[in-house]
Amino acid sequence: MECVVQGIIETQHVEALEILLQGLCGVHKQSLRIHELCLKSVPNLGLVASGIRLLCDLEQPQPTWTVRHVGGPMRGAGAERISVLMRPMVESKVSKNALRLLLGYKLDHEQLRVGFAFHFRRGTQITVTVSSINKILKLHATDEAVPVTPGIQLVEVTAPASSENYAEVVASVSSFCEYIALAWQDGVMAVPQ
Amino acid sequence: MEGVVVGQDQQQQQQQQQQQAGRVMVEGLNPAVQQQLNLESVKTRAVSLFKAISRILEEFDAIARTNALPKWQDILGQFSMVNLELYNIVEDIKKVSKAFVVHPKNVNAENAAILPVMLSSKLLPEMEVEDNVKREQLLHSMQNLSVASQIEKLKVRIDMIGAACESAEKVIADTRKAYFGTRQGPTLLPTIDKAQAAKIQEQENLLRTAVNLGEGLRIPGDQRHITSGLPGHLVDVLAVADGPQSFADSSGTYLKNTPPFSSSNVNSQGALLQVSGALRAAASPSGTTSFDTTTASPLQHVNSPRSSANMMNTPSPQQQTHQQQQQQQQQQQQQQQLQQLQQRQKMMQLPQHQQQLLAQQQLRQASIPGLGQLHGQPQMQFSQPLGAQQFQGRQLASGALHHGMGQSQLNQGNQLNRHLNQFSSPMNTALFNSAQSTPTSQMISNMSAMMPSQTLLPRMQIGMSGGTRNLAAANLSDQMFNMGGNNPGMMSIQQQQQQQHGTFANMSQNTQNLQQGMMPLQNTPQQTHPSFQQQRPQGQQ
Repeated sequence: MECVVQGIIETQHVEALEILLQGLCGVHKQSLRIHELCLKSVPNLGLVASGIRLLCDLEQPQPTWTVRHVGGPMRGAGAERISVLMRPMVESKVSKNALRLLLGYKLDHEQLRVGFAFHFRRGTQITVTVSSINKILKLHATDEAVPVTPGIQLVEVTAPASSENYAEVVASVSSFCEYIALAWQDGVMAVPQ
Repeated sequence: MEGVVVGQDQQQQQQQQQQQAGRVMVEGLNPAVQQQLNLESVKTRAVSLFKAISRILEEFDAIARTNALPKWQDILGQFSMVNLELYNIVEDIKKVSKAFVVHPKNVNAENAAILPVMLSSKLLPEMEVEDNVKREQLLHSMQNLSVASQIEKLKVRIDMIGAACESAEKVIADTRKAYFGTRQGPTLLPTIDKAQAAKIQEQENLLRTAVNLGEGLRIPGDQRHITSGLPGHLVDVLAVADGPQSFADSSGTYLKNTPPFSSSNVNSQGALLQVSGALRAAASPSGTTSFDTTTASPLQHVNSPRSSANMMNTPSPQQQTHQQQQQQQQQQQQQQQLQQLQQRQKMMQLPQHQQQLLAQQQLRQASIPGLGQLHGQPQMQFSQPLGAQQFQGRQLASGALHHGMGQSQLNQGNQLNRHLNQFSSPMNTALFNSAQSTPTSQMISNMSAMMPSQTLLPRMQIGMSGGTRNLAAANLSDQMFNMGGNNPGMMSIQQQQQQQHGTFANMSQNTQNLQQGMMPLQNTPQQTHPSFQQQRPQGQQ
């Protein structure tokens, strides 16, 4: 499972946010350039349709592939009490042949994420990602990707969780998000505009 | 002994006074202080006190040497005299000595040793070195000048620094005022007017749907060809020579047969299940419409429940391109079969995806993205179960609509769909739509492709779809029955199914029959889409 909070930020403020996050997290940013292929299962593969995502990390000298399955959001009374989104998520590293081996899946859509991420510990392992989502106009042409929304980038705060400890994870993620929000407000206020 | 210490202190004081007196030659004690201090008298008194203390010390020595008992009373008397004398001297000195004399209040064994160091005005050696270094730096440039000019330059420097500090403080104070002033105001952030906020909100929704659902990122089928060179990380991954089921070709297959289901429609399997159940109940083969087995296969209708949602989502240009492409391929049976299979797959994929979406979205009646693409038709919720009555109504209408078959595709399809909107069963609508459009194998193949996606629907075989595959199209048969055989292909299926009491468990028997009929149906999925869309909302009423 993972705990996810998604937000947006205007592109003009991304640099300031990066500096703020660097101060809050205490680590250096990691650049991000991920080609994400979203596959959907073919018919007759199972009782229900499923989708998985293949992530290719293009930032490394050798592209590394990850397969990831994301489920629907947690629902119910427990979910209503928390202010963040919990959803099942399974991830694994794979070889580049994963694409070929996933016979039962076909490409549904693909996107390119470019940005940076901070990985740190604050009660639990938290990852903050600020990235611009680019759509790939021609099949697999990652070099010609254009942002879906040029003026806005996506901010994601994620933390892995399990069903036993998700309460703590939720608490630390939501407190960190509030922390960022407050610090961001202060930063915005302090800078004479 | 205290007296000794006092004596030492007095000596220190005297020394200091003497030192200062030594410097008097340069500085000179204040004459008033001099007068007040009355150095001479203080000096004599201190000396006499010193003598008295030394006399006491000698006496103690003598007693210690002779081991005689000291006469305590005498000694105490002498001590008290010494004490008194000291007190008087200290009092006199206190009045004038604040400027240049420091004397400890309480001297005891602890601090007796450190007192000289603490009282000394000379810096510690390290501190002295530092001091010298800094002085050196400061006066380095001015050593050649006179002292007065040096002093002036230093003063100028000090003034400049002072001014800079003041301005910095001012800036900080102003900012702080502004900060605290506005912080307590109603708006903490820079105000954004409503138009901007709305725009931002819209952009945010775009972004979120793109990230989470892939909206706006799907490439239409006709553009899913690898035109330019593959990026490095995909070069050896994607084998271009793969068959139609290859990763890259999936889009190609879409081009040929299936309408683009990219904008997945919310399709609930649950609804379809119920629909299929109802359909089965109401399914009475309305074989009134005569259709050629060679033409549109019943699979078109079969696919419609699922594909209806899908078709509704497909934008019209895509439909048109599909039409054209499908027409081109009608002449190649093998390719058609393949395409049908792929269509089915695609159809199944999308409905499943849509079903997932629906489940996740809790069956909202909100507008479904992509549906709007189709002629602006109202979007529907496909999750509502259909009553048997609806099916029956459909069957009746199907007969009436049968005439509409084969006519102009989209418009008439839409009109018919409006009539059919009363039927909430997506399957029925799909069948109708497919029937309304010119029967082509593509329709049937599409339908068949759509049907298999509803794998949960029991006893629906997709053998009809495309005629080449026995997909578990759950509601194929039911749908086809409801549609009343709008398509020639459908009719044939229905006729065949009639023998099976409405349970189409043996669709495979029909597949062979329908294969031919399905072939030409490849071009009609687009036509069915608008009709599906229309049918659904009304049907759910």
